[in-house]
Amino acid sequence: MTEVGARAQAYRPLVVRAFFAELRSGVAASGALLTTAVMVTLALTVGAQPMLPGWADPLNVSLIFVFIVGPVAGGLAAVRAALIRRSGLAHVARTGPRGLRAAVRLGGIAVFVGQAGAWGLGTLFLLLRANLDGPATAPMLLLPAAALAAIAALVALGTAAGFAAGHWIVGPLVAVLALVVLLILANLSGQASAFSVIFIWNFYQDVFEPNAALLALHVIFGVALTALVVSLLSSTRPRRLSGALIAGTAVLAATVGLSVVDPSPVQLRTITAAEATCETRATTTLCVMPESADHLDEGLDALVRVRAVFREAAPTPDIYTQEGMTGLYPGSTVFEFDTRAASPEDKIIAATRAMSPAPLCGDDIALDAWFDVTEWLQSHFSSELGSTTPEDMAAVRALSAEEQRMWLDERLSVLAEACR
Amino acid sequence: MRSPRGLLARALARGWRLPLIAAVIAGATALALLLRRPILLPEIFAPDTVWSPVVVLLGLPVGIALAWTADEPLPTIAPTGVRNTSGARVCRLLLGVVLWGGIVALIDTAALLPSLVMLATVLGDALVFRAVAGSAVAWGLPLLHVAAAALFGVSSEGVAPWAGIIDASPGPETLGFALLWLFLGVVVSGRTPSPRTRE
Repeated sequence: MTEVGARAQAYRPLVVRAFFAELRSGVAASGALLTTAVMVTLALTVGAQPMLPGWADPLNVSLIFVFIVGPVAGGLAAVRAALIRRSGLAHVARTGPRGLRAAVRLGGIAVFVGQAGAWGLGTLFLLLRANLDGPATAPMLLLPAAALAAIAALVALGTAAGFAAGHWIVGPLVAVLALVVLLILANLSGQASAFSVIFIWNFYQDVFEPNAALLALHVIFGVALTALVVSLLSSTRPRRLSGALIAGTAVLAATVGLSVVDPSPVQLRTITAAEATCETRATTTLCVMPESADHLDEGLDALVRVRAVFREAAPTPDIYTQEGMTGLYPGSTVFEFDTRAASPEDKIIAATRAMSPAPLCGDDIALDAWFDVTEWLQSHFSSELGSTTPEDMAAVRALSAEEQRMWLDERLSVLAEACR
Repeated sequence: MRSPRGLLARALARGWRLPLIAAVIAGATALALLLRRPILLPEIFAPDTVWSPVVVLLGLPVGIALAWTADEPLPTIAPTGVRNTSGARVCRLLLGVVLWGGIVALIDTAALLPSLVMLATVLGDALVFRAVAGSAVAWGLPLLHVAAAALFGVSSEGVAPWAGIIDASPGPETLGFALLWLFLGVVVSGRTPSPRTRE
């Protein structure tokens, strides 16, 4: 063993011991206990009911937990860094070869371990309660990665603020500020919403998974921001400069990426034809994701019945698929239904939408024609849908079959001509 | 302290706490007057959108700042002093609550009850956690409480019992529980003059 290696081995237990001493003492430990208690209570009490089956929804809620853990983690890190700078430890640490900044960095790591552990425990309990019998795809793993990156970035920023200010009062300031910023970001719309850390009111149907590009950029942004602060807290000036240059470039690159990436938090899943579940009745075929197979019978039933009403008036496609699968079956039409609202009535409404899709433009005449066609279709099922047929539609239905067909043809030709 | 930094620390050591707390309350008043529209809460499981008046939410920073007065006067010397200062501290806390209540009543009378529930709960949280872990981290519990209530407080079953702070029209039992919690906080903070947080 070289002399350097021997020294490193003698040094390591000291680092490990110091690390655990940090973890045990004041701010990091009490903060970790507090957040753990809150997270576990929340994970055990929040409604598991509104979450859809599969990994995406519980993991999305665990990303949303960042709204609770993140600000506290940042504030605790600021308190910790400020207290370290003012304590007697600062005088001791300054005399060491690694300097005061190393002690501050270690303090930040202890806060991160405590808070990320609390978040992880909350996520674990949430997953234990959730129904995981659903889609599980790789981009879903980016949700917890983005959560950890966000917590790390907030801890890093808090540490920097606390170290700069030198009084623990910046702790609550950082925490309240972080809470307000997260709230403002969550309420942004349009391209700016890509910068939001959490995606609220976003539930993942079977056909959707998290937007991989967006979340990957979030992970890069969080990690780069953390690296920037860590390099600024390096012990030597050359390291500070080179680290800040590299990490700063990465932060800039991620910012540029976020301002051009698709801001939607969801993307359509892609599966192969072999994975899809299909069923054919007479001439109508319905293909769905394997996780949505429970809806196959009901969906096909609704499609066949609505098609029987429509077939005389207009040609309808033979193959229907869930969103994102039209590429697998050329000439197929999207049959879009909510996997949460599983009632047969919803399927009938979805089937009428599939037969007569809304016009792509906001043309008033086309929209009127579309409303008429949809209403005419749904009036055939009014007893099941529990809807009352309006008087003018009842008058149309009272006409002879031939006259009804002419009435419908008029509207279908308007729809076919519209939006060209 | 020879470091050129730590100006804030030195300023605060020279008794600038009460002016700072007054500044927080003044700032909160100014914000409440400027932003008079309600804030949309990110309630993810709520069947409808949930709004909360700004003045109610501002109870959080005000409560955190007021909890700080429990350290006054002279947090490092008072515990060893001859005179008992707990009476003065409790008086200062309650005066702060009355002051904020009066300001809220002037700005938006309809928000008085929810604001009182918010301030009493948040202050109770801060005082209780201050007694456990010290003044430097006392703000942790109220912040977690507000963030958790803003996210998960409302479900299809209505406002959760622990999330009364975001209830737009709290019942008497919610106010009663909040005041009881504040009372508990005042009692434990009276017994612990200046708990120190270790670094």
